[in-house]
Amino acid sequence: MLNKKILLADDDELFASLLIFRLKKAGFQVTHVTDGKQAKEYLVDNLPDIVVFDIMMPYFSGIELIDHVRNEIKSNIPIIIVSSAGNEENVLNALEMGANDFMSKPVSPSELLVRVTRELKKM
Amino acid sequence: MFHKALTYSPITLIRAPKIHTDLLWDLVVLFIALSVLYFISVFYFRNKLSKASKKLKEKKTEFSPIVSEFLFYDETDSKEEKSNYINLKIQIRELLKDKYNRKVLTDVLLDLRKDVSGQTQINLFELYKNLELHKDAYIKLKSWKWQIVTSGILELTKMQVSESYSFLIKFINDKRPTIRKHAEIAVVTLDNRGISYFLDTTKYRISEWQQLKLLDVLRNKENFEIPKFKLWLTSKNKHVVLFALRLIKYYNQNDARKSLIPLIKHKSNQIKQEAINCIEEFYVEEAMDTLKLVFWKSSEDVKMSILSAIATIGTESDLDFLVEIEQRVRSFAVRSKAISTINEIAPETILPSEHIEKDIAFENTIPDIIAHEDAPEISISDQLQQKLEEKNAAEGVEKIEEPEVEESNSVEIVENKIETEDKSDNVDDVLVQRETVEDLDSTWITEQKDVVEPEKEQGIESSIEIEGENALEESVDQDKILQNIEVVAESITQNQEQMDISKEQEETKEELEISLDFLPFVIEPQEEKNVSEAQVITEEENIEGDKALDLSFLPLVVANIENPKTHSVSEVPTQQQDNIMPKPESPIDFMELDFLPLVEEHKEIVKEEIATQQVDNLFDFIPKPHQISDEESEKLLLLADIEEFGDAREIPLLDEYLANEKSPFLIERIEEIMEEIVKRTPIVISEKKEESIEDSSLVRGFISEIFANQDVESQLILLNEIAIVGDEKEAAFLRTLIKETSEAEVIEKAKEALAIIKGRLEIEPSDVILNEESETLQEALLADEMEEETHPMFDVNFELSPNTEDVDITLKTEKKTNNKSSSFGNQLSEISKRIKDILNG
Repeated sequence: MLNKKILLADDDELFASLLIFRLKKAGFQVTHVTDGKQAKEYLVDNLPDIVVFDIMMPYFSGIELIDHVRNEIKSNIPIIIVSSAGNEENVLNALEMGANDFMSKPVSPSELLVRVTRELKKM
Repeated sequence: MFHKALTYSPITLIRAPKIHTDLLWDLVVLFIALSVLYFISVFYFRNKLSKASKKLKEKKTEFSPIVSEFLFYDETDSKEEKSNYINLKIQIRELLKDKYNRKVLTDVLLDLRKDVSGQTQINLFELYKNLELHKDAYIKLKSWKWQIVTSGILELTKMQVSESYSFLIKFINDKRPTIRKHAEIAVVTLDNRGISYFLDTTKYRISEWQQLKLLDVLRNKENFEIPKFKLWLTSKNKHVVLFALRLIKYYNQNDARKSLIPLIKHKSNQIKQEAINCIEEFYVEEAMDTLKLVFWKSSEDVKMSILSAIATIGTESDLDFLVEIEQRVRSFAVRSKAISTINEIAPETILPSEHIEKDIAFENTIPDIIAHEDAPEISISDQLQQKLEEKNAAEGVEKIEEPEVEESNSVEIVENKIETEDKSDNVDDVLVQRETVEDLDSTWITEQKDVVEPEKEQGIESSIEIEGENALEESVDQDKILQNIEVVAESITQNQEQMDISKEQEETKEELEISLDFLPFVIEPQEEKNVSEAQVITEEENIEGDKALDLSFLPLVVANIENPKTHSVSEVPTQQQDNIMPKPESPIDFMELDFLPLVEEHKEIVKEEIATQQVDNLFDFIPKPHQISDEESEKLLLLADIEEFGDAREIPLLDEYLANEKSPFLIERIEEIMEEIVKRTPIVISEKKEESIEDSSLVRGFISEIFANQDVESQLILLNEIAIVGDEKEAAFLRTLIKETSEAEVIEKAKEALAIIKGRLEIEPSDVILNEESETLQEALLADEMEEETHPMFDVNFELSPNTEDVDITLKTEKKTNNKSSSFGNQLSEISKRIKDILNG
């Protein structure tokens, strides 16, 4: 799992830093963006091994980013959604759009690490 | 100019105040300065806030990796990471010396707390304590500001500082509600003993929302042993009792059964209702008596709760109580609930009864069934009694008769007594009465209905067909004959007129008795009298010889009872052999069956045959029912009216009917009516004559009125006309006129006219044959003039049919008289019209 690239898109910098710390400690290369626009721009030139999106972000939501990855970039990279908006509608919508996993806040960083690792192993 | 000055003079009084230019400039400068100051302050504070926010963000960014390092530190980490961890500890100790940094670090930890879970969250709480940030919260608790105290309590609660429990419990009874409520949540959250302490010590009201929040805390507590909440049912704080009841119900603590029963009598309706809910939930059957006891003094909501509880834990022994509720309580909701409770305890005890059509509405659709009376409406108590009896019967339990009268608090006894009044009377007179339902407590009257016989309400319609004419045989005895007459259905169309007729006939036939059972009928020979009703008796019943039968249910009743002789039609035999054979010399019994044209058709034949035939043939004369169409029915009614009210003037109309009519019995009927009218014509004429004489004064008055309203010229013309057509009435008028009027021309003309009339009245008519009794001389004279002169003034449109030629001379005179009498008023009015026409050219 070393040197696997992870794109983390979350506007909550405190929480993101916590996840970044945990993922980096696990050996991943983590790139953090704080809104959907930055995420799209990053994805134009880079294709990470796995992406972790929040749903509610400025410019583009996590759902739109899923659509962008699946239909525009046409990539099958694993997508994990981490959001506090964990109602049934969002979960089903994200999974139908092509997300591989959905985690509702509060999130255990260790659990996220396990899920990321599992998704990467599926590749 | 002068006007203009006046016009604008008021305006000239209004003058603009003089404002110094310097003052205006001063004001301008002032407002500009204030605006500048405002904008400066806005920019200043905005920059300050943004700087603070930026600084906070930088601080958080600075602290976040440190916090992450602390949170995810592991003993298994490498030495480099361990040394890094130790360095961070030293660094953060230095940072935390600054108050602002402590505040920022606290914010960071509080923010992260809501995003992380699991071990990371536990590490976060530990870090908070290790960094001794909770001491800042303790300091907040000492503040006099309620919002700071509240934030301190909230911080300690969120960061799970269980050591702060002893500091927070003192805020449970704080005067400030916000602090108190946060303290309650904190106490319950931080320690498992918190809920007990809170319920023991709180003196204040616990709001519904607070109860929900406390319940949510309790539900999410781990390793929490739920206390026995029945301990707080004795609390002096009723809100604690209420909360305890709800917790008991939520946690199904059914060991509080005995404690629940006294609470049914609690003053608070909320507690009462909650206790009842618990009783229902835990099936506390011991509480039944108490529930019944408190029911009557409870509010509607509590009553509903009690009924709900009874529905769950009640037995059939409680049904009486429920029936009493249904009958005594006014509230619709409670009564409905009582009924549903009864049905819940004993399913389908009470069947739907509201807005249900009575059976009679459907019985008319069944031709073979004759309903005598509607089933009485069954009250709920009756239904209940019936249901219990059925159940007892099914279970083999002996029926225990209840006393007729129960004391108060018992179910009302509703008695339905159906009385059939005068069973020997007509079926229509059968009355079903329902006794007034009296409540023994004299408080409520639940039902008080008079059950009217539905047939009466609906105008009593039924149909009957009598079959069995062929059932009479020579060798069969009378009973057998009667039994063979079968009543298939009944159709009675009874209106008020027929009812009146029946009453009149009842007066003349006191001996007639009516059986309620109408199957075969037996008619005894009686003295000649009107029989408009037929009797019907059952097959099983022996009929006494004296009883005549009421046949009023036979179709088409068009009765004319004024002249019974002309309508007596058939002789009615009886059951007894002796009475059956009519004696030729004795008066023959006739039934007044003028409403049966078919019977009248055979009237003469019947009279002849009755004298010669034997008993077995007598029943051949029982009239066959005749199916009459609506059109024929209307014609018959019209003919009946003509017969009753008509005179000789209707002869042409009847002739016309006769010519156009095809129905034999209608032709018969018309001929009969014509004959009847002809027979009574002389009487009518004489009556008419008397009436006309009596009315002469009125006619005279009418002439006088017309005459008085004319001018002299018109009066003279009128007098000429009177001289031509006048008779002795006009002569009297002329005499009066001569005496009263002052106009010489009028007096002279009136004298001339009087002389002419007198001369004419002295002439003896010889060419007209008149009935001595019916015609007066004056009428004959006028009739003669009417026929011969045919003065255009008397153009009376009364056409005689040529068919009347065969009518005798008496009828002719009648027509003349009628023509005269009926047109006399018209003649007078015609005179006045003609006068006006003459005057108008």
